[in-house]
Parts: sequence; structure tokens; C-alpha cells
Amino acid sequence: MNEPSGNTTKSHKRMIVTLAGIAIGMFVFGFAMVPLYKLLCQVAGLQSVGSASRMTLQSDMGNAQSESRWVTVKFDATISRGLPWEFKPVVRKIRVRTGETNDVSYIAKNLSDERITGQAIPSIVPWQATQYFSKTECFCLQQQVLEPRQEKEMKLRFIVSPVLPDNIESLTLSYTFMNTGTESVKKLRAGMKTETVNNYKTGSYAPAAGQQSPESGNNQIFLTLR
Amino acid sequence: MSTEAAVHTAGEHGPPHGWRRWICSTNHKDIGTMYMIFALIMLFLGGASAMVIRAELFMPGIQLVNPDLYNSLVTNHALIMVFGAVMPAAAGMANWMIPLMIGAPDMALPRMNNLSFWLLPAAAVMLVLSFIVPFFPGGGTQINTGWTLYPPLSIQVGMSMDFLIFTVHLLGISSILASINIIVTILGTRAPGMTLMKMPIFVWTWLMTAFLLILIMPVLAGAVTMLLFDRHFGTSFFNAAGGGDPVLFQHLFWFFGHPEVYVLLLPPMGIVASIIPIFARKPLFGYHSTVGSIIAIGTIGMLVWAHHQYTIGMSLGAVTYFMIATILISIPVGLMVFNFIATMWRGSMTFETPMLFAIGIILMFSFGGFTGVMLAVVPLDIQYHDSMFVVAHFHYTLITGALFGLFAGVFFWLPKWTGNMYDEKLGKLFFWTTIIGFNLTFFPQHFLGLAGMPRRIVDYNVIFAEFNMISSIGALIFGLSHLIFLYIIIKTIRGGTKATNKVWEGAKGLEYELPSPPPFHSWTTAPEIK
Repeated sequence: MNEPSGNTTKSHKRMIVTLAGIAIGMFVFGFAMVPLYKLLCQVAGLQSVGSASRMTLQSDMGNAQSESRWVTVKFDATISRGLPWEFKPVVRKIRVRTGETNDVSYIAKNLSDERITGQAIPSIVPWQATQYFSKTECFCLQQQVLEPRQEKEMKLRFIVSPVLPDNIESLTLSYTFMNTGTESVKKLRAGMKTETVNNYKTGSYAPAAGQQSPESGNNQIFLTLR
Repeated sequence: MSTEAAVHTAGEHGPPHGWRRWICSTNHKDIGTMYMIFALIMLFLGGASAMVIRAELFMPGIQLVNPDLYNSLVTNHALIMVFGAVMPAAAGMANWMIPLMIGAPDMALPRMNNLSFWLLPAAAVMLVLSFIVPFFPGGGTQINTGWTLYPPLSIQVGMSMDFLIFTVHLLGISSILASINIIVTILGTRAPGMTLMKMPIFVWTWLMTAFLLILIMPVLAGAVTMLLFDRHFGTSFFNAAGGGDPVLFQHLFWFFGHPEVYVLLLPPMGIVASIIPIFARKPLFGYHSTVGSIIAIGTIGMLVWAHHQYTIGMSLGAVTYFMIATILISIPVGLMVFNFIATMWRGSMTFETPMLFAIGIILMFSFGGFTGVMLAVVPLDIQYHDSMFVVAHFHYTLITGALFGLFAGVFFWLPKWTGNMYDEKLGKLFFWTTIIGFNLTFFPQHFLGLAGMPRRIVDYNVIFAEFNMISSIGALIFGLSHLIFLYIIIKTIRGGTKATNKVWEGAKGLEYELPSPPPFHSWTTAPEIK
């Protein structure tokens, strides 16, 4: 009764194949999540930080029934590690009326002797305001190229929706400029080893925006290598 | 028939001699033993890293380890305990006990069983390498991410992360093979008459666990593979600069990570469900509802992962769903705990070490469950997120639910495995020292967390000094108590009062019809199921 007859061996094989199939299917599922996740978030309206870069004009933007009011918009600029640029808003803070078009600009300067392409990633704080903040013209929509030592003014035109929830009186638009070359990240990694510890000792664990110290030196070396 | 001949002679020869017995083993008992010895070694390794962590936190300031090394220890402690200690120990008990319990001669796929064990030492070597590589010149940075391996930090750390990624791959393959083996064994090789609803609860918990593992381990493997690609092949799965999304990694990780806690919890709960009826001398109360709650825990457990990520900025609808689903899990878990309590009700109980552990688990695991309900509530969680409260919570659930469950299993089955009774006095001594040490370590961490002490940080404000000192003293007691555990195991293996077939007075089940220790090949003819 006990020794495996042909039937049980066959049913075992079927089970093994099915289970292995499930395992492989789940591995593929993980990769399938890359496109599906974005789709799912859009369809189900699950806002996430990542979707902040895909802001759209609200359909009810400028709805005549909503009253215009004053809100404060603050501007923030961060340089990601590995980008030897200087980057700051021309004005830190403005008061704007909802539903009206506003123009502001940021200044970016390439501190290195190499031509560098960067990409700005926007985000809004509080995130609940993201969908009410519409950029009709923005330097973050394209990659920005700066020649060595070049300084450039970068334009931004935006509208804050009149249907912005009443509890939001002030919002912050924050840009992080990233170096689009992934090579630089590698270079940075080599430089980070000592740096993290050193920064801790000097009390500045988080690097300030546009930090000059050893990091930019590393990038210089790297850029020459490339 | 050749197979018939093989089975016929199987009972007559003893185990093979020398190293081949272990390296080439296809015997479920030997492989089970190796799994558990491996788990014990890893338990001490993971415990040692925890001791360094608590020693560093004994006083405010940085005394022993630098911040990167501290975080690397935190990472290693978690990975070693989860993948090295708890999962292999549970798998070892599955190997030993499932064939005995369901009347099967061995695991269904003995050679694959050998492979799934021997992948583990290889993975362990890789894991240890990932820890020591940064100490060598050119070794890169320590893995300072914590076990969650969140990018972008995990993309930036040195080559030790690559060792870790391949460790996860090996562990994943090992777990998936073991799970396939366990499912095929349970579904395909039960003795005639052993219907699904007659199976011991321990077998049920492992059936669910094995399915969970097959569903989640490949997702983690996929996620770390993407991490590897991002690190070396210029892809941008999780790199915002290239259009990727780091939050996606968190979703993938916790899609694995949350069911993983049920993988850790369910088998020990099955052990508790085997212990309580025997020491209360009553059949398990509500067998069917316990099976139902195991299935419910596994199923709902797959659908609640984002409660680890309330702070990433999900919509109100999404967090509300994850909150409600998470709180729902407390219903089947509560049902299981109530079944255990009802089993003890009016039973003629005796309090040997396994039973002490079982009762301790019911009390302390429920406590961990309550803090879990607190953390499931979104506004509270946003307050407690990444605080020591979370550390206290998951140690209360995982140490009691998983580790103590396994300890209970060791005391419960050690006489069956070795044929010798363990020293009851020492067992009770171990129970009380470990329980006191554990509570002294982790109870104050609730207060620390509520007062605002963050986790995974090497230093802390002096206002947290007293509770941290208590916690560190508790940790020392807790850590040292495991030497008693080790001594008991060695002593029991070397000799002691002979155990009877039944071992325990109230014991019922197929495994107690075999002698203690069972012969090298057991149930070569299928038993009669009454």
C-alpha cells in the first residue's frame, strides 16, 4: 500500500509542477508590478509620493463657483548627491491668489568644468495639495543641460486651484535636482564610505543642499574620468 | 518491483556511517536535526549581534560601535534571526514531525530535501561575508539600511549589499524547495484514512505556511533582483532620477514582509496547539475553527502589507482599507487564542516546561497582539512609526509567538527525538530566566517608544537613559539564559531518563505510537488510522 505506485508518482509530479509554476509566476508578478503599480495607483487613485511628478490639471480647476483666496507658496531647492550644481529659487516665498497664473524662477549654476545634464523632480508638501497645484510651464518637464560654469534662470508658471481644501493655507513646492548619469551614483558610493562617518562626527549627518565638501571633489574626479 | 525491494530492506539497516550520513542525507530525521542545529548556531550568532546592540544602548553616547556598524548589526540581527534561526528551526521540526504525524515513511522528495537544507549553510556564509567584507580595504560601506533594504540607501551601500542580495536568492530557493516538498508530503503521502480534517494542527499550520512561502519568497527575490539591476546595470526600477519609484520597493518588500511574519508565527502556533491538549488532558477545543482561523490568518495576511507604510502618503481610502483589514486579522488570531484557553478550561493540567512556554506564549503573544492593534490604527501609527514602540511590539509577537513556540517545541519533542527526557528542573529554570529577561528587555521599550525614542539610531537623548539601562540589563539576562538552553539540549542528547513511546501522559497521535527515539526509517508500512 505504501510504496509509490505509478499513480501517486504522477500526481506528485503534477503537484510539483503546479507549485513550481506558482513560484515562478510570483517572481514574474514582482516584475509585472513595475508597470502595474503605476497603473493601479492611477486607476484606484492611490496617491503616492512618486505620482507627485505626474501632476495634472484638475478638471474643476478654475471652477467659477469657487471663490478665489490668498495662499502662501514657498519654494525649496535641493541638490541630490552627485550633482555639482548650485540651485536656488529667486524668491523663497510668495502670496498668490488661487486660480491665477503666477511666474517664478529658479537659478541653477554648474560649478564643475564639465557639461552636465540634470533632471528636477518636484514634490508638494503637504502631499494632499499635490493635485491642486498645476504647473503649466516648468523646467522640470525636460532635462536641463548646463555648460561648464554656466548659470541659467529656469522658469516656472503655475496655478493653484481655487478648490484647494480650506485647511491648506500654505504649501511648499520642493525640487530635487538629480544627475541623470547613473555612473555618478557609483562614483559617489565609493566616496561615501568615509564621508558618512565623518559627517556624523562633525554633526552634519544630512548633507546640506549644494554641499561643497569632499563630495564635489569626488565628482570632479569622476567627471574627468568619463 | 524494485521500489518494493527498497522499502522492504529499509527497516533493517541503520543510518549510514561517517560524514556521508549528513552530507548525502535523504532521511527526514537527519535533515530535520541538521536544520535545527543550524538554527541553533544562527540563534547564537543573531543573539550575539543583539547583545552588541544592547551594550551600545546601555548608555547615551557612542561607546562601542560607530553608527554604520550599529545599523549593520541591526540589519544582520534581523536577517539572521528571521532567515537563519526561526525559519530553519520551524522547517527542521516540520521535517522531523510531519512524516511521523501523518504516517508517511519520509518526505515526498528526499533529495530535494537535502538540497534545500544544504543551500542554507551556503547562504549563511554569504550573509556573514556581507557583514565582514566592509572591514577589509575596498570592501565598501556596511549595510546600514536595516533588514528592509529600502532604496535609495540600499543602492548606495557597498558591495556587501550584493552579498546580501545573493544570500536572499539562496534563502529564497531553499525555502521554496522546502515548501514544495512539505506541500507534496502533506497532500500526497498521508497514511490511508488520515483525512485533511484529521491532521494535527501543526501539520495544518505548515501547509498554510508552505503556501505562503511559495507565494511571497519569489516576490522578495524579484525585488532584490531589481535592486541588483539598479545597482549595477543602470536600470531605474527604484531610482527617481531615472523615473523609478522607491516606494515600489517598499510595496514589494512588505508584500513579502507581512506574510513572512505569519510564516514565522504559524508553525510555532501549531506547536502550541499540539502541546496544550496533551498537558490539559483534553482534546483541542474547536479543531475546525482553529483550522479555519489558520487559513483566514494566511489569506488576510497576504492583503494587509501596506500597514507598514502608512507614512508614505497613500490616499485616505487606501490607508483606511489597510487599517480595517489589519484589525480584521485579530479576529482569527483571537479565535485561535480563545480555542487554546478553552482547551485548558477544566482540564487536569500539569505544568511541565513545554506547557509553561505555551501558557507564557498565550499571555505575552496576546499582549503583542494588542500593541499590534494600536499600531494598525493609522493616526496612532503615524505617531509611533519607527519608534522603539514598534521594536517592543514586534519582539513581543515574534519572540513569544515564534521563538518561544520553537523552544516549547524543543522541550516537547526532544524526548521523542533523542529518547531521553530533558532535565525538568533545568527546563523550568530556563523558562523563568528567559521570561524574566525577555520582559525586562522589551517591556521598557514600549515606554521609550511612547516617549519618542526612534529606532535604528545608535545614540539617544539622556532622558531615555534609565529605561535603556533596564532594557540592556534585561537583554544580558535574556541572552545568557540561552546558555542554559544549550546545556539542556547537550545534556539530553548525551543521556537521561529514558522516554517512553508516549513520552507525555496524555499524549495522543501517530508519532506517539513509535518508539522514542523513532527508528531511522519509520512508517515503512502505513499505520492504521482509527
